[in-house]
Amino acid sequence: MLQLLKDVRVLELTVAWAGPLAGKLVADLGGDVIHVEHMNARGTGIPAGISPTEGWEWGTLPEPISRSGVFPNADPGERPWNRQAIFNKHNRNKRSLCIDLKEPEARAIFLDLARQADIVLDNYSPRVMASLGIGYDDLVQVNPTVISISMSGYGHTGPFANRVSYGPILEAHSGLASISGADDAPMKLGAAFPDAVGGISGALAIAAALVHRDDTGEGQFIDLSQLETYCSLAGDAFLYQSLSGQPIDPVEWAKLQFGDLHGSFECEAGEWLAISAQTPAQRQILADLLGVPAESRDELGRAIVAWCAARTRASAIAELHSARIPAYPILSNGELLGDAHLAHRRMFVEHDQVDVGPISWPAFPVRTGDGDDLARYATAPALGGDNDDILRDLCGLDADAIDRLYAAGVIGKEPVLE
Amino acid sequence: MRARNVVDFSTGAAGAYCSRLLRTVGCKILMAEPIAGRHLRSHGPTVTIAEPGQQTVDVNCLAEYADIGKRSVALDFDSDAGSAIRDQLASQADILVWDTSPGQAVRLEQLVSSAAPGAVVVALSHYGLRGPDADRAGSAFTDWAAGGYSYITGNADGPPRVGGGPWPEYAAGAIAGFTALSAIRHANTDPSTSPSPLVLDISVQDVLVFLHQWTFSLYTHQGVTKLRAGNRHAESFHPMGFLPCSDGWICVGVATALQWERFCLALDMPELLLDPRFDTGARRFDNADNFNSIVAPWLQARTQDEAVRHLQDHGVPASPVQTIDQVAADQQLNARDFWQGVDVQGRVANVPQRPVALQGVGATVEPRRAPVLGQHSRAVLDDLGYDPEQVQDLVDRGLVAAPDC
Repeated sequence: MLQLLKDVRVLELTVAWAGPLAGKLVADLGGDVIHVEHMNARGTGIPAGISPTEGWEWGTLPEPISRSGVFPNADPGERPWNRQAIFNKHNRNKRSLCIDLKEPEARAIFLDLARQADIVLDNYSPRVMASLGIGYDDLVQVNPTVISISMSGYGHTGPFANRVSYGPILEAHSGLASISGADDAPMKLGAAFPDAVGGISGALAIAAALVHRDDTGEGQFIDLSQLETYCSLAGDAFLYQSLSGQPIDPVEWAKLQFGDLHGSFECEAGEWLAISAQTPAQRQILADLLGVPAESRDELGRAIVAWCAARTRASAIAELHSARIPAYPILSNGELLGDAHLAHRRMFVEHDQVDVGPISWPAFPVRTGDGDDLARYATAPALGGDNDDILRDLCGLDADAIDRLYAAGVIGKEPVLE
Repeated sequence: MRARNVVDFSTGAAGAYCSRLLRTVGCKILMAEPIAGRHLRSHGPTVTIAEPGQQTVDVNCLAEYADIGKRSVALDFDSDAGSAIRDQLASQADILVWDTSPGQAVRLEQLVSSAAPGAVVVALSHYGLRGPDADRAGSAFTDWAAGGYSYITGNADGPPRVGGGPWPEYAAGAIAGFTALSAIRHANTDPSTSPSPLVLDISVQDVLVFLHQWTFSLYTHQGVTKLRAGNRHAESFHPMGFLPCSDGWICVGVATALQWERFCLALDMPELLLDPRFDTGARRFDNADNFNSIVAPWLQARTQDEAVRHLQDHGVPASPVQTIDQVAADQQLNARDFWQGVDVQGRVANVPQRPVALQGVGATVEPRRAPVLGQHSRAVLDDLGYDPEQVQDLVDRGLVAAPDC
């Protein structure tokens, strides 16, 4: 299988979604991504004596105490830090070095690895890497052509540089929430889309920097602001507002984006579908299908509502597809997992996950024109699961030296209770 | 980097954003458009510019933004002459961009057969090149549904909602750019094993399905159907979403125990720390209505600015929900020179300059504007070896568009 980034090594110091996603994209294409993490980075498990699966039923949310990890069968198990979907989803194909970077010996180990890495990737707040003695100025001492990319919320410069951000924070700050939805209130998307966009942008920057280094021999420090990557999606809105001086109403904006004949409509049994007819030709076809004149938008709108309400979603979709009107059922997570088209495209791939067993995940979303895979699928690492291999093979440490590091608490495989 | 040649045959938003991103990291973009202009030029938000005594001009905001710094040649692809030019341009490209958006007059096979060994052909579509529904008609609006975002977006007791633009298409363009650059990189290091050319099948639906946080994990691990939760974040965190103030909305982000403690102290409500209804993010989510009504008076007594400032001073992540004009004036973005002045029909508009600044790419791009249709047709054909008489003949016969400019 073609593995486009198989000779690329990344040291990744990331948490949550955006940073790990950038590293995951490189790892999926074959890169050796070493996820460098503190013993407590994945959480410290749940308090003893709590039995979160008692009374739990499949298909229901678990008790609050154990909900946020998203454990298989709601069961944290013996090693909860290895069983959380919120970690495992974003860290497949990677290796784990579990190390306390505040320990004196840890910095030397990290810099030795940096000497042998192409990329150092972090999504910490701007001061953190430098305060650990592994900022760009430290890295170039050991590796003059290293590419260091820092994916902070707001960037390393400017008055808000040290603010913590999350996806919803950036949806708000960027202005994109104010042009979304169709009500008086601003609207948040159902998943933290700024993280998704930041992650892809980080990966793209990494790929571009690698090509640049191939061409010139130069590494660089990349100061990625997740806010800026998200604002970049709405250039049309900024251009519109800049030229017109008019505020943007999300309802009117949606019509400008998607055409004035678009919406979510409810069919029988409470099933929803999405329809949009954007061109005059599509509008006429839709009007013919509904048996109403094409000229009146209001009449067409009422007709669509009534037409959908009188049908099953399946039959509505079938008719709309035959008429070549863009339409799609609004499917839930479970329904998409069972979708025939996505199954044909192998968009959900099962692989064995350490401490969990076989489980399905969304696949890397690019294949060749012939349908060949470009991505590999292997477990997200156990906490510290690759310590020994990495320290022996890359740092040249023998078994005694590695044991001493465990004993001194410099490296580990479990959370430490403080 | 050494500027790679990108020839963009796409007609829709995904392709336009893909080539825009490639331009921002140092590639040279030539759009090869259908003779009447590609679909994106006539769809989406427009602004009418009316100068006194002049004809009004409709500016298409999607294209005017996405096309900054690109060149344009416009061809009748159905003609022998247009096809020959298409093949010549394709053969010179490092990356070719193609899609299935409306008005696409070029077939993928034509590009693949003309592309050079080692070239990358990015094929963007709503549902992919393969599969039982590959031929389905798609759109920017239905993309959100197909990728599983509509189901989980909007109020719990209301209809499914979507974001304010073709953002799934943009995400697909970005994934395409990443994969294409990775292929370029791979060819640098291992040319012998690169298939030639490499065709990348990128479905917007696939990309959006890939870009969920834990939506599918909830189902595969626990059988839970993820539901709409309005301006709340869902299941395990609260507050992590939008709350109303006296003059607008703010976003408060409490994810850790420490941030929760700071939030309670910031509001001078330490008793909340002892309230069992609110002792974890998930429990706060389950009791969100109660929680929101308890903190509402504090928020309603403050403006966005006051509330955000106070929360930030106490170490609680918070931001205002800003309008587009507030973002244009945002002090963080302005301090980092984020805005680029672009020439639009003689006026200057401020737009995002880049998603990421990279070394080796100019901080500003010349030309600082999007091209009109066929603006570079004459120059492009000259580069291909056509002499001016040949070009004029093609223009006169309506096979090439080359406005006088």
